[in-house]
Amino acid sequence: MEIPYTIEARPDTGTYNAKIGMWLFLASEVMLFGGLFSSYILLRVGAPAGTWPHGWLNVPLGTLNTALLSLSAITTLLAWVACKTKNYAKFKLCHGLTLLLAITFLGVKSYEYRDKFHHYEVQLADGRVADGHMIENDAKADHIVLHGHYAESHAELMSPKAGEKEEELTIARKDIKRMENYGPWHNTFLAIYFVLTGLHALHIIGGALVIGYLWGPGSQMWFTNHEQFTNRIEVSGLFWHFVDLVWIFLFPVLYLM
Amino acid sequence: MVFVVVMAITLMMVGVFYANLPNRALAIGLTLLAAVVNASLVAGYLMHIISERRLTLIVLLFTAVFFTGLMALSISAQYSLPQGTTH
Repeated sequence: MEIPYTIEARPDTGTYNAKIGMWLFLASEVMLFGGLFSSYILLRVGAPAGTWPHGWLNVPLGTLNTALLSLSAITTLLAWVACKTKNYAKFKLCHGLTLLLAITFLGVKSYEYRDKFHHYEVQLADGRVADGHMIENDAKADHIVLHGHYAESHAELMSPKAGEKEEELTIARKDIKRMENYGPWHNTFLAIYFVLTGLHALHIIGGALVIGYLWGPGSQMWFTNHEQFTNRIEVSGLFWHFVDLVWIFLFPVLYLM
Repeated sequence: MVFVVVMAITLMMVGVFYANLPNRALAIGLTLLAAVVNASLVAGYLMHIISERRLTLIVLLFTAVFFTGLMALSISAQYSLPQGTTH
């Protein structure tokens, strides 16, 4: 049995089924991310003054990621145009570029996550706080080595000073009261940061898998049913543009405010 | 062209961040406005909402209404916290 309306428009909706289906799915995704964004807003405005971190995220890397995703949105559109103009070589190039840009985005995001997991806040017995990136943390050694700086209190860390001098700090384990890295468990900001960007990254991975399939083995449909293939590129492009749209809000909300 | 405009607006947002405007509300307002303009460009021209069918636009209108309601409910919730609790 043939699946109906994969190419021809349905009389009542005016378009093919996959397109309406994708728009309905994207509508549900708006509510998913909307719920998380509204959680962010509540957490942010509800935080007592001086307890919400500023400047903890790498703005140049976030800007780079914005450029990568925006460019990938263009290349995915160009891939669809190539399908419409029946230019296979151009389709392969543009869709392949989209995939490369997606993988690069994930690489940059992984680097940012790794940086957070290697960044530690060490509360010392004398009340001071050491903050920096872990260089040595051998369980058998009686000390750790951080590349960072000392602060008089935890509150000072909420807004790091630009150009703060960083140096190698050797701290004896017996002087450590508590030590924790900047994972999602560290504070509310990092919790919502990892949830928002992690869910977004999962969407990027899913989208990249679909793009990869359509670029690779799925591209056989170009020769067997070109119009349906073009529609598949269009609806996967819609999903990709939505993922870009989410990042367009994520970047300023998390990195710039 | 859309990419150039989106990146120009993004760089403007980054510029506002580094400018460290004394009026925080203005900085947040400008940044959010820029994000909305960027999103509108992507949605309008790259997703072709500008030339979409009426049914799709109706679906998106419902989405916008529910999204706005969700945001309004969440923001208004901060004013209805029970008294005497630590927040």
